[in-house]
Amino acid sequence: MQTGGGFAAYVNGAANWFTFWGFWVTIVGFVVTIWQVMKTKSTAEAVRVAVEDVRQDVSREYLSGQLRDILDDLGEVHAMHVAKVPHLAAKRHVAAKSKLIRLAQDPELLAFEKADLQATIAHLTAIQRRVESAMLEGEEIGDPTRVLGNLSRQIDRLTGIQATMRNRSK
Amino acid sequence: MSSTDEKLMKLVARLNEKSSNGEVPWEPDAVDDAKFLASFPGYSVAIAKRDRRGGPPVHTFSILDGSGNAIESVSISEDSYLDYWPDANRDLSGLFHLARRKALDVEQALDNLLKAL
Repeated sequence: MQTGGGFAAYVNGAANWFTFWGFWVTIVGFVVTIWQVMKTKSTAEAVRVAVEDVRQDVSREYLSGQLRDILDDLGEVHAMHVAKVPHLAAKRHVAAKSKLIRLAQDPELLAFEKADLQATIAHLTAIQRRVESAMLEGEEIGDPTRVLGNLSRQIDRLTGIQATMRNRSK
Repeated sequence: MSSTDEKLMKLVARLNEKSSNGEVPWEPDAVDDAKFLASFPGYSVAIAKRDRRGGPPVHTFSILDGSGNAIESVSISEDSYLDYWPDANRDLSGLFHLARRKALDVEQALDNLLKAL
């Protein structure tokens, strides 16, 4: 009986020992699990942020490329007005404005960029109306230096927006 | 008064208020000396003045869409009247005055002249 009682006490002690250390192992395991989950989450978040940064850079590079294309068109429009071939300039002008209207709707643009593009569209529309009206009436385009000056101002404005875009993507 | 008229009046009132603080980016129109534009994402607003032979000038306020086309406009002069907007002439002529000063940077010119004298 005594032997049996000693054995039971031994088993009981061992069980307490295991219960005690089991409890701490569980706590430590839980802390480690939490730490690993947090680490995984922060790594996933860092990867997500990095992917988003790259996506925005690619998108802004694309927008900048579109703007460069429009600037080329407007440069040619300017040159055509200098060469006094307004009918050719008008065609290219319409094409450049259409591209600009599409570009201005891109959700990646910042508010001030959208406002600047909108201003350019409004001015290009006014220039287009003046040129088309003169052509329909068979008249000279008022003061040609004014048209050229205004076209240059729109080209300068778009160049500024493009520079901002490229700086932001860098 | 329709809700659109009410919003139009509210817009002009706000533009007047913000323009008097120099907060609206007015700029001269590309082809018209007596027209000024301010652009925001997706839309522009324009205020123009037309002199009439033998009559008071007409002020026209327009809203331009994302393609540069006018989608709404209101014209008023001293000898005309809008039932829904009794102060339209005062509001639009005031806005034209503020837009012109901002677009042509009259403030800067005055500062420089005062400094030079």
